Amino acid sequence: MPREKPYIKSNRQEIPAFAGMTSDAQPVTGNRQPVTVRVAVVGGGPAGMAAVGALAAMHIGVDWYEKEDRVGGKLNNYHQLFPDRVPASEAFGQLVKGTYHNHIDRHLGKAITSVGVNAGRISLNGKDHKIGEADAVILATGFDFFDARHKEEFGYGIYKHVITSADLETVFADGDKLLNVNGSAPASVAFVHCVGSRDEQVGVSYCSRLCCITGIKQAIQIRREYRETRVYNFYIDMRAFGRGYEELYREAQENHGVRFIRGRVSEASEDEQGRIRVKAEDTLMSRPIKLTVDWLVLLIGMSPSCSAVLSGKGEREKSFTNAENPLTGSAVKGQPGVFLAGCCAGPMSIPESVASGRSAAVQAAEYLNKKNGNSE
Amino acid sequence: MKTKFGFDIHDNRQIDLDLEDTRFADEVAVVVKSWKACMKCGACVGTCPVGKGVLNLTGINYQPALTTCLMCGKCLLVCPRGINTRHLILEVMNKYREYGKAV
Repeated sequence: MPREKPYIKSNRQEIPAFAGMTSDAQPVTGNRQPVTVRVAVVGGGPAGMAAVGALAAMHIGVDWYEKEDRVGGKLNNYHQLFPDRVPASEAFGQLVKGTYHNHIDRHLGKAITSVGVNAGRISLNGKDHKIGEADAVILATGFDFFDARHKEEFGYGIYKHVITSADLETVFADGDKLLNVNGSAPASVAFVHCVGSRDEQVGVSYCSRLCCITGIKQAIQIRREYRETRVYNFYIDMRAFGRGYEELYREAQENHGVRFIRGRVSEASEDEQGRIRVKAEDTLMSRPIKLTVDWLVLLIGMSPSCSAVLSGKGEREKSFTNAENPLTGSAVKGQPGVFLAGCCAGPMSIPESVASGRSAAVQAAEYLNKKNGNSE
Repeated sequence: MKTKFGFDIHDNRQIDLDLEDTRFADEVAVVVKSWKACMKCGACVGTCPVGKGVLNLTGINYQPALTTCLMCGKCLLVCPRGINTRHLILEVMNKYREYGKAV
């Protein structure tokens, strides 16, 4: 959700499209061999980039659809990736390298809103017209950020100093400063975990998994930029599940002095200076907490964005799409030739999305082989 | 305060983090760095033979309960974050003596 950042000093420089955004800016690899089958990949994020790269390497023709006018998806707005703090631009560079291939046709600015399966052919439709056809399709439509305005008690969209983790990430990515109302370094910043995750009040029963580690990473980043700023993380459970995540959690506590408080923020309100007053309960101490912060950062969860494409229905029908056999495959039940990659199947980190994209590519290739009678 | 009629008046139990003074905690953390890694799991309290543990120390001030510590070191054995709790308790008591009642 684009939002003005009136208190944030902007250093953003207009970058003309990322170098290599057009196929002639980068040497195209691979000999153009006659390809008999074509797979469509919908979505230009990490999972989509990984899938098209893998398909092209297997000499399968790819039609690659992306609704924006550049590929990269949300990765374009990220600063650094947990847990190793690799710059997002570096990860993007590595992923996009594989997509400069003769077998890949890019269709930028093309939003696919529904897919139809008909006698082994798959049609890809835009809002009011057919956009293309393919023998198989990989849906890598990713996720949407949870709209934090649904959690009204945190005041997102009401108070200027309540922002989401996605907003904060663009602040870091643009090299902007996170200043308080007086224009100096913030005295304190609080993070609220599980906004739009594990919350029946907003109809979200699942855990978005990656907000915990995002909160840890961003808390460390704030402490690195502003040594005097106190940083508090209000969590329900810390779910640091991945490689290096727990280590980063410990590093945040031990080396960066980030304070983790078990208890969900119940309410945020603005005081007369425009700072945010936070009320919570420290459930480990069984005592209520009062705190005033310069910025309140909501760690928003992930909402699905792919099932609407599959069902052709609107926004309200969205849910994460289950594969036919989620343990071993990514084919969609009852939709032969449709495969899922990345976050449309559930919240995933970038390495998981990449693995999922490659896996979907292999499964699509297997499917086509079988269909064309080439199976051994 | 115990009243004769139906209500008791308690001290304010709210933790006001705006007024929190972390100097004492920060000074101890200089000596026992791992202190800050406490994730309040409660293992030390659970195992403490005098029923206190060091859990409630994180970020808070000196606890009078520490004087009953036997220095048995059981909390050190159970801490999942490997915090040197015995060193920590000694350091807190040393610092307390240094500061006197001011803390």
